Amino acid sequence: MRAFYLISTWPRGRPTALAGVLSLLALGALHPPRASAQWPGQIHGSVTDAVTGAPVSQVAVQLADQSRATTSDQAGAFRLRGVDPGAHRLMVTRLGYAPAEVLVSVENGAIARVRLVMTPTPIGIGGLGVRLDPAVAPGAYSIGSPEIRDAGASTLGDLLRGRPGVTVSERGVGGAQTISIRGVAGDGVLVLIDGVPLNDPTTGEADLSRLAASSAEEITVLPGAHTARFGQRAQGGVVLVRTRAAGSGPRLRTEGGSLGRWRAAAEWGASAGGFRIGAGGEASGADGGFTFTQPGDIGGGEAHRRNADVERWTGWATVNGVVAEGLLRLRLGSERIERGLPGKSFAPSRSARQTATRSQASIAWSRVEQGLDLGATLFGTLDEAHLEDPDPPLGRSFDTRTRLSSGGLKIAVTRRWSGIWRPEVGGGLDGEYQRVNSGALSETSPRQRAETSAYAHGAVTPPLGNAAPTLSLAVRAHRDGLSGIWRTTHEVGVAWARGPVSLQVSQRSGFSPPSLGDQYFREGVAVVPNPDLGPERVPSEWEAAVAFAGGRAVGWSGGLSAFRGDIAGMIVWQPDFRFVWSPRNIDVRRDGLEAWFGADAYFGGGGSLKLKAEFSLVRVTYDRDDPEPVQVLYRPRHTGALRADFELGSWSGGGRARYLGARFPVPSPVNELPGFWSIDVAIRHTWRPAGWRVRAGLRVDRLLDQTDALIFGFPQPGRTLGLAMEVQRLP
Amino acid sequence: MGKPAEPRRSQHLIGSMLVSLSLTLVMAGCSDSSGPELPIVREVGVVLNSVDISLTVFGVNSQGTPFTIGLAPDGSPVSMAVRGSLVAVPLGLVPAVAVVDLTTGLVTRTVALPEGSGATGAAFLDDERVMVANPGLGSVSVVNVVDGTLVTSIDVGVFPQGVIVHQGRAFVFNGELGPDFLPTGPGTITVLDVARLEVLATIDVSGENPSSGAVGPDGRIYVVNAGRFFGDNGSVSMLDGSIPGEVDWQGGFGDFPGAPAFGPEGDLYVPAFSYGVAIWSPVSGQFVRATERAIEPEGVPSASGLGFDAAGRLYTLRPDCVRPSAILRLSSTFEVEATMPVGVCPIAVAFTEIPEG
Repeated sequence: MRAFYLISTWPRGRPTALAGVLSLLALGALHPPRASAQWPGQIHGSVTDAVTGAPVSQVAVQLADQSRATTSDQAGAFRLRGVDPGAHRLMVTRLGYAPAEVLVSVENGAIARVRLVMTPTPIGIGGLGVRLDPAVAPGAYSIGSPEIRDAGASTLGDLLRGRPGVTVSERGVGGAQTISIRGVAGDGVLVLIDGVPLNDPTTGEADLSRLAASSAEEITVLPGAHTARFGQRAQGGVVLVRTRAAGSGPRLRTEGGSLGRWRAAAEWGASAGGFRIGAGGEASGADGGFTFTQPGDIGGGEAHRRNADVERWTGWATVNGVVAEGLLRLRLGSERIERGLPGKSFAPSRSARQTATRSQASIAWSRVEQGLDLGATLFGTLDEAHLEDPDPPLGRSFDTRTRLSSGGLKIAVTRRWSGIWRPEVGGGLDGEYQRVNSGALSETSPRQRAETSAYAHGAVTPPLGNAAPTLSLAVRAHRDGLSGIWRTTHEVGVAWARGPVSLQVSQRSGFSPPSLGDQYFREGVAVVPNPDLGPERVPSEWEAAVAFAGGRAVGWSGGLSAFRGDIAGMIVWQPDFRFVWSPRNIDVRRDGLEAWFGADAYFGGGGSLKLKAEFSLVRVTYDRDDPEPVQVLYRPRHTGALRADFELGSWSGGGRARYLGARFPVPSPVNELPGFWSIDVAIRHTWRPAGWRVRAGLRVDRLLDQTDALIFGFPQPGRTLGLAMEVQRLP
Repeated sequence: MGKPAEPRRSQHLIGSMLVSLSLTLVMAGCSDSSGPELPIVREVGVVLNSVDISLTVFGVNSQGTPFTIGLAPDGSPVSMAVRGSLVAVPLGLVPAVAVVDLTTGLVTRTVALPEGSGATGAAFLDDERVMVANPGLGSVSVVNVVDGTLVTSIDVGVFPQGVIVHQGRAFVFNGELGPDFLPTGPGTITVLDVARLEVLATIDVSGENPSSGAVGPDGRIYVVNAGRFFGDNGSVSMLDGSIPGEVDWQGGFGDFPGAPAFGPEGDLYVPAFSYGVAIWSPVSGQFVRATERAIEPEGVPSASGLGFDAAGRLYTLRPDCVRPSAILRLSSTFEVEATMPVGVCPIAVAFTEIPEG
């Protein structure tokens, strides 16, 4: 516990941080990695579908306490080598299935065998909805609990930064984070927290900086227009966040680092009366100030970032149990953030502040029987936000408050048959009622709205042998709460798999309505709303994907996904000749591809190495008579990442190099901002005193002191250090 | 207001003849091997695209493809100053002025201004120094565009947003706008001595929101008072540089007129998004084309800027802030005789001569 003491008493400042780092490394070096009489064992297992009994491939299998992981093959089998003798918690996750875990005891040098059964579950709306097969989500990927833990991320936005096809726009350190997928802005990406939309109705966007990374258990990203599956705004993609539930015991985590960063988190879980109860919380903050160099193309010179401090508090409690032969999950959560809004580096605001609180309560029940899934979620949210700037760099002072309360109900049913066509049909109803009172909106803005939608879906697998394709269809009818207009969207998919190769082709449509702010913003200095604004629409999006996996000693997997889906009426804020900004609908052409390749190798003595390369190309260009297509502003055409993670005895770590390509800050091919790489590295050491696991880690972000940012005028601080310590009681 | 007169084509023709004669003399000088060696120059038009934050440069008498010069990744430029092959563009929200060398097509340097400047409106004091208005600070800054230094800043009125230099004096147009960018009353003009960089006088004008101006053939300063958005109260104030006061005032320029220019016949051409191009004669004190009979380029009653080339030909800017726009060259009967592509939201145009090559 000496290391814990070092970290928890660590004041803000680099000299002390460096001392802490050196102490940690020294402690790790002195600690023997393994008793000499111990020999690593193995875990061999298989995974099957609880409903069909079929093997489940591509299941992520991970030891909770060792970061050792693999994936199941086409036969549903997996092997984990180099496992320390003793009891381990084995976790399995896969898109479309409920995660599961089991305790495995590994003898000295022996093979432990396990059989796991995974229950297909609808995902996305709090445990109900539709079962996602690859045909409808070919480019989907998930970030599981171990990766979330090891990422050292503070927010949901930090976790998603640099993922394939995803761009996270940030307003500086501690500022708002919005997500863009495949060139669609944040108001066209639906973010669901346990099935409840996080998107703010006044902006249409979800601020990912408001959700602490530690409160997420799993994050699933589904690129593409999935309005028919998940509802309006799911036009560029969907981000599904499953929050943490009851833990298995006490867990404490503390962090500190450059820019005055600090974080402390704790969670606890227990069983009582047949129910699993859990609770957790986190407090974090940062001073956020740093000295930076203004770019030469706006005059250069040194400047200091001020008013960039941030503090967050998060608390949650869950109760899980079996009620009426189904799983019941009750969750209460609340987040609060207070931060300065420093503005652009060349027009800084010294006094702009934001305080925002979001509370959410949800109760979800789902039952998965042989061939019949039932589910319902009831939720309520309360959002309160306060924005003020008594002395802005431009225009009048402001002091606005927004209060949003909403409640909703989602009901879903799916029926499956095990006949030769293996048909599946389902449907559901979604309804949400919102009340909005905001000083940022005009008097004519509607104060309440009711959104409703109904959907149906089905799938069949023709009896064509082992390589039979699965055909799926989904349609949804949405009623716009403001205009009363009904809109329909659809998805059609075909999936085919043989051996290590799978192919998918999808065709879909989607839409995203204008936000209240777009249409009813209170007219002010240089800002005018547009009540006549129409929705963004993707009338037809095609996507084709191929994925493959294989290998024995070295496992490998990869894939390629290509899409084409123009956007009719993309909502873009543009100035007029008076430099008064207003939202407009413009047509945009859009296509692109995502490619990825990964390899996992395991060595004797408990070592492993994982490599992964990802690349994304998104062409989002104005549909107008330009001599050459012009990329929509701030949409990088190229993004990519290279990752390497290793495990060697009690040490683990890795590095990630992210590339953010060139982008244009204006709607013309001039003033290009060059692309840049940023490299993050981390190293961790684990101790296992009796019954406990202690992990200490060091992170260096932007290793090469890179200061570029996606959006011009929001500088990054260059190289930063972070130290973390986690103490967990083992089950 | 009397009946608007028709354009005086005879004066236009005389002006064109004078320009042609001048060019002939220049060419003759070039061919005189015994005389001083004069540089070969060509006339170019320079268009400032405010949303693109760029300049479009095109040859006035050549069919070459226009080229574009990006100025900065951010900002809100709406005005520029041109002298020879140098262009100085205040970047608005970005407190800096970009300096462009038209002979190389590059931004040679970007000179930082005081934080909160608002950088709008500029004029060359000489070959090296540019005076830039800082509406956010109520001052003007003098920068040396050759060595990239900020020379000094001088307090003027509230919300200065335009500068004209004439006969050793700088006239700074103070919009007298409040924090909501609405006029708090009539505007003022600060007069400075260019050599000593001292304030000589502050002149009250009758109109609201003085924003731009031009020097007339009579040596007077003609200041366009843009008024309020949708206020239909645009006007022109006339200053005599030697008399510290407004010598005359003319209303009737409609809603939010823009930067004016004098035509070869000596009339004042005023563009506006709300009606097109109005023409007013300082000699007669009458509108040649009042707002209700304004020139409508391409049949559209709107223009975001205008200018005249050395041959006295009128150019107007098509006000399109959504897609790439165009500059239109109008004939003497105000028909569109040539169109050239420019960037998004063109807001100002100027003509200058640069060395050939």
